[in-house]
Amino acid sequence: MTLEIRNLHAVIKATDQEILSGIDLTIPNGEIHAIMGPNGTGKSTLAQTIMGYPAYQITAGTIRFDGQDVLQRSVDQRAKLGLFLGMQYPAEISGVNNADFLRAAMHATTPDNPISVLEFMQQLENNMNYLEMDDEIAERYLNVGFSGGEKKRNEILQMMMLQPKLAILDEIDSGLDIDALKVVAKGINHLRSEKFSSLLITHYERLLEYVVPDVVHIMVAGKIVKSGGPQLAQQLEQTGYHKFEVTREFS
Amino acid sequence: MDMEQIAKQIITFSRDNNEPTWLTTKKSLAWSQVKNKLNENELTMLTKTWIESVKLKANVAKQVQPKFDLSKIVKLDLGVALQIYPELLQENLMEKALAWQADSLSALHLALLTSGQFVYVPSGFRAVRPLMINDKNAANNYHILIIVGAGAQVDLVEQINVAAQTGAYLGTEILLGSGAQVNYYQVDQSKSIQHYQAVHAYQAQNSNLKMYLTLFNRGNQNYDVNIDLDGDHSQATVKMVAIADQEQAQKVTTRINNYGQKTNGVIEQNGVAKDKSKIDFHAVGKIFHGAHGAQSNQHSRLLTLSKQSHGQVDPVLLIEENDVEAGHAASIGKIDEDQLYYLQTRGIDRKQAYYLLTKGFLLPVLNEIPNETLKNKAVAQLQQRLQ
Ligand SMILES: Nc1ncnc2c1ncn2[C@@H]1O[C@H](COP(=O)(O)OP(=O)(O)OP(=O)(O)O)[C@@H](O)[C@H]1O
Ligand SMILES: [Mg+2]
Repeated sequence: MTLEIRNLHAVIKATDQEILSGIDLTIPNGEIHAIMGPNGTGKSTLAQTIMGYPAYQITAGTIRFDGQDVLQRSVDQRAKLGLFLGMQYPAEISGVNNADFLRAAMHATTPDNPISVLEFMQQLENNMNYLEMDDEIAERYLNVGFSGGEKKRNEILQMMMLQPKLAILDEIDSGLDIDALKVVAKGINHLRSEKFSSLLITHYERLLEYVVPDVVHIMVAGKIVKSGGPQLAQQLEQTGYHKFEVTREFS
Repeated sequence: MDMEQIAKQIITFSRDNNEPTWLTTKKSLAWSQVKNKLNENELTMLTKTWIESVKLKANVAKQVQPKFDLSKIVKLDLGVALQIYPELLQENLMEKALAWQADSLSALHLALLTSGQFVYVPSGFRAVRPLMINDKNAANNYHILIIVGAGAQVDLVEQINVAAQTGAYLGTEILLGSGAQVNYYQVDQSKSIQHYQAVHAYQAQNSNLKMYLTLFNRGNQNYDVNIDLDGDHSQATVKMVAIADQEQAQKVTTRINNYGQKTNGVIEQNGVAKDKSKIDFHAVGKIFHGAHGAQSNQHSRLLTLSKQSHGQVDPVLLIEENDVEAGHAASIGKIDEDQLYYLQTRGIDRKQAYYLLTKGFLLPVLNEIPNETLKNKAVAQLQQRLQ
């Protein structure tokens, strides 16, 4: 279940502006990687491109997951392959009940293995308890009026219910208080196994203290400029991105 | 068409069904007024369709023993009610809420009327369970008169299920006495190819009417809602959900007239047009001279699901007073791409995502239906219609 991205270039369809300028990234099965980088550098764009967001156009490169050509597939087919994206800004959808939506999603991703209503309710309750979420969240319209923290927990809840093979979590830690951050980290660690890999996009080293990554990548201006172990994140905390921006100009 | 022949048939039908003389006279008058206007529009087609029922004496009300009792809820065949409560009906049938003189269609509706129902909720009566009004054998020209007495409270459910045929007209009129409180829920699942539906209400002071109208029918439709807020402090809310698909055309006009002081009218129209269908929403709020402190608000939203589906929302506020509050909002939109994408990232395919979002667009309106059983029924019917 390795994710392999080779020389990925992507532009914004509307403006033709290039955001991703040759990304190379491999996430082997069972590993957790983190991407850090300054604002506007293309981290969310990378996450959305992997998932198939229609505003971006791939101009070069490949994405493979488990040997399959990801770019040939529609968004929902990518989810069915086992990809999951916890979004930086999850959509609010009025009129769609959170629990109904989850059930529809589970049904869609595991059509051969339909889960009974009772099983579903039990799993939902267990996971919500695990994430210390209010019961009423399940019956509310999807993300509508959720606080920032509730939205993020709801993304993690979906991840736990859908059990993807690779979860890309885009700033899952932003806007969370310390307790919530621990809860979310607990959720991610709960899935951690040799069958699960994850890509964490974050600005803060703190998340990476709770979910210790195997590899940390630094992304600047649409490229990965450096990769290293967890200590790279600590180092960044001290130095900031300036050094990498300069390095890149000369390289 | 032989106009004189039809005039005779109207009289014969009326007599054979023991209708009161005033009705025979009124029907003849209505016919004489409308017969010269038949070539103007679709009325000719309707006349041809409806005249069959008149010839057949489709709804023969036998002579009944008058046992006059208005202390309980009355729910009767209109023909029977005409014999038992002639005065009450003379005063109210197509006079106050859906006036037969108002236009040619209404006049024709009365002239060729063969069947319907009469519902009476006595003053002060508080109905515990919703009152169901449906007639599986509703003829193609059908009238329902509902009178809710002063201070009475009732939930009314009208289920419309006309079979596939051309040219059906269903007229419903609701009269609310002072302080009456009515929740009226109508589901229209008719299959008639051309369907006319009128729902009119007349409200006395302090009365409160909440209408939930679901247009889940399959054919072309002209739908006409009219509410007269006559008494001071009367209020009405109309919440509507409409769906059109294939080549269907829905033309909907909702009008609330504020006559009384401090009256309050709210119109909310929500529509989804699929395939090559069309929905036109006209909303009119009129505040008449003298209606001090009145309020009129409207909100129309249309969701077009395909390139070929289309529609109009056309909000109108007509205001003759100064010290009033009025506002409107209208929108025509498509499915939100980011919402669609979000659902797809969870493995839900495009078709299913469209279904969920469409349902989500209309569901919040249905969720406001005060009665739990009815609400669940409405949601089930919505699901059925969207599939
Ligand atoms: N749909 C879009 N339309 C226009 N510009 C876009 C769009 N998507 C991304 N961009 C631009 O592309 C650049 C990269 O954006 P992206 O969201 O990927 O950055 P990021 O690294 O995730 O930043 P942050 O840390 O602030 O979340 C930004 O300049 C952004 O404004
Ligand atoms: Mg971002």
